[in-house]
Amino acid sequence: MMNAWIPLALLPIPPKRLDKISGYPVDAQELDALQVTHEIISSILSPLCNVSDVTSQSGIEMVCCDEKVRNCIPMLCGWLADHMENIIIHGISSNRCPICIAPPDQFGELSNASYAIRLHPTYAAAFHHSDIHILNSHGVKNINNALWHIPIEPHEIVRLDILHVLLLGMLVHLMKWVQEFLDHVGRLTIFDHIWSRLLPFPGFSRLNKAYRSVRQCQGKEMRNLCYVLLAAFAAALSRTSDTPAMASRHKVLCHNAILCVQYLTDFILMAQYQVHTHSTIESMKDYLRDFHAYKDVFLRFQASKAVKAAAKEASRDLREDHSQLLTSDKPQGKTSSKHRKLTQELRLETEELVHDFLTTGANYNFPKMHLISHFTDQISKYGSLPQYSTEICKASHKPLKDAYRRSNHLNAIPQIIRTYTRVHGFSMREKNLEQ
Amino acid sequence: MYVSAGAYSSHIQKSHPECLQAATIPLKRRQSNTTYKPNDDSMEYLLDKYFANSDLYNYDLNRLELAQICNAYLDFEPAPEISKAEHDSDVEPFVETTSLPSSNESNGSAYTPDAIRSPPNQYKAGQPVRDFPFSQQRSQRYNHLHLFHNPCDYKLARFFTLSKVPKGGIDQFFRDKLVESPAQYSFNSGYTFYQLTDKMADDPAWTAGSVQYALRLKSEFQYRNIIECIQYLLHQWAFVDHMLWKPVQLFNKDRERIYSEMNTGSWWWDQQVCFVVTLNLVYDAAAYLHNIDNHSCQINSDSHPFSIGSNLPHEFFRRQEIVANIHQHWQHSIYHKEQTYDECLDPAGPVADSPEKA
Repeated sequence: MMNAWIPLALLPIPPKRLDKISGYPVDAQELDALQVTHEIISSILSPLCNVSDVTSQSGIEMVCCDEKVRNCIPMLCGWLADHMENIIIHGISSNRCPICIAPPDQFGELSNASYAIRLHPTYAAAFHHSDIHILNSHGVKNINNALWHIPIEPHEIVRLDILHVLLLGMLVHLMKWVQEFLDHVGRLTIFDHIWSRLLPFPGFSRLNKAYRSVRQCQGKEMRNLCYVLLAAFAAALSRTSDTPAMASRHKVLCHNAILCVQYLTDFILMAQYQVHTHSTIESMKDYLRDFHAYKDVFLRFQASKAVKAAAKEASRDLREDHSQLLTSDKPQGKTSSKHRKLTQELRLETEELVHDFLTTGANYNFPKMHLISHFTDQISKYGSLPQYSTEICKASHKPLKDAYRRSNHLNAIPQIIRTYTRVHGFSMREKNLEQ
Repeated sequence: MYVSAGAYSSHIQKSHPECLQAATIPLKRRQSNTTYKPNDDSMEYLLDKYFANSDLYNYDLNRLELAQICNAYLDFEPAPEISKAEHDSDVEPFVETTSLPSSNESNGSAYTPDAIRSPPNQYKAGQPVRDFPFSQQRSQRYNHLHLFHNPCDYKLARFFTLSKVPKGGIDQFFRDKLVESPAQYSFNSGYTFYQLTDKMADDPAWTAGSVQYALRLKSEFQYRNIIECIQYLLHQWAFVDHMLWKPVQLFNKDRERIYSEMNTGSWWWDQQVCFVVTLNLVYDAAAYLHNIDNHSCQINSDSHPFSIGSNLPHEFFRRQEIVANIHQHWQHSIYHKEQTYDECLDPAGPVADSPEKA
């Protein structure tokens, strides 16, 4: 219900850093801006410090909509945000997990034992004692965090976001890997052909264009394509009617790639369930474990641009050597079949070299790869995940954006508030009258 | 005998009906360490099988009895009703267990659980302090469209607002005399309309604040009192069918815990049912999570004495043996203030863990 969300504050946008201030480095500028942001958050949340203090046990009597009065102790129980917003709120580095202290170089692997959760009181003590070493080792910024002053465990307010972590995060990565894999095995055109000719069915909107011809997809579109990705991918790899047969060395790769896609899409689809049981949570854990077991098939496509350039250069050097070898071999009177065989062997050698280059310099160490390991824990603690998706917050921003458009854009904030208040007041009264 | 797929299918259907029915068993997705158990659909299949093939069909048995026979035959144990004795030992005994959800408790979820467990009454989770009938707070002649004289007046204002008619458009509307009797309307221009609607707003007021960034002398921001916002939302009559007042534990017929809305998760339950001890510590010492008698306790070291979080009754806390027990654990397990900082940084020191993992 849209009106159940009301804006609490309109925050200022901190000024961008200026590089040219002598004696005021960029890092210090960013840290100061973050400190000011936390001071604002602290002032907004300060009323909770008194009423959420369980030592008082008094609470506040509130009139509830079922015509009863209840004694309430309001608590901050969740903060819906994407990863970068969580970074700001929790005052940590961008390559860190806001929930646990997993090291960034282990994000790509699924740990058997869960990492210890973040102990913010420790960080508060370290900040008080100016122990930068401890803060840096846990990727915590040296600021007085607003969340330390309200009676909550900051790691408990993190709600993993389906929209940004799964649909616009992992699924976008998966689509990139799939596209590059299909290009590698020579099936990308067939995939595009299948992709753009899928028939519509209830709950699925037809995809009119090839995925690679779409510049950017929204969350709704990514959810839509998640339904058919596995089918289209498997069909593209197994099609034999109008395409040359798959090379034998690619068949194992294709098998593993299909399994990897299947496990991740199954995980994403199950994460969107409105109702979970122990069985579905265990299934999600299985899918995640199997995805990690098969994900290496896409590892070469995670290589950075520098690694790709190095691999390209190495393969070019090797091909030059091979061309000299082939030129020198030819006058020795070898038969054409032997020459073809030698050529093929040298090509395979080049491919192996490139593969080794790419896989050695690639990894899956990015935050979203780690964050998906927390999904199953969150379901049992906080219920199903769609209710915490930031799609709801983003939809709630629409009235404020509309109000800005209706303003004259000069000193817009008071105008935004007035317009929003009028619209919200009417829609709220409408709903109350309907009830 | 058959020359096409259709003929073959008909033949199989006539000669081997059990094969066809076996093919209709729904495929269940792989689950870890769990064996396949028939669900409702497959139970329907088994019933149909008995109706079709068994002599039981000739007897006057109802479907429930047949289901029990089917279950016994297949060594499939139906989920018994959940009693407090069978429940997890680490959770306190429960006083209220219902086998069917009430209409309010199942709100917000399309799934209908087979059993609902609510917190014991002693925790007073979600229980009201007193009634507050809205009708008694208003007079008999209370105008629900307050500030507007009549429904037409209200509807016109609503149209102007929700259709985003600009102020000049409202002025034009009245200048062109598009209404028959302008006197019955409580506004006659854009200016008076905005004045009226501004008075109508009953949501929490906005406050202006300002901060000073290093690179900008003054930045203004607007915020509202968070407590007033909570009170405003709780008060809205429109949400009465959607509100969840207390934590519950939902179970299906296989005695599996069901997680859907926020109040079905373990966090809310832990907040209102578990025994929480909290002491404040922010700057002087570190804190860690600790377990005392299977209760989730968050122990810090600044604001002695202890107190109980959530809405536990005071009578519960005053029990001396519980206080003594906590105090004993406190003496043995909590580091002293002087040692706190070093000890909490010790990698071999206490590690936080959730009560479930413990």
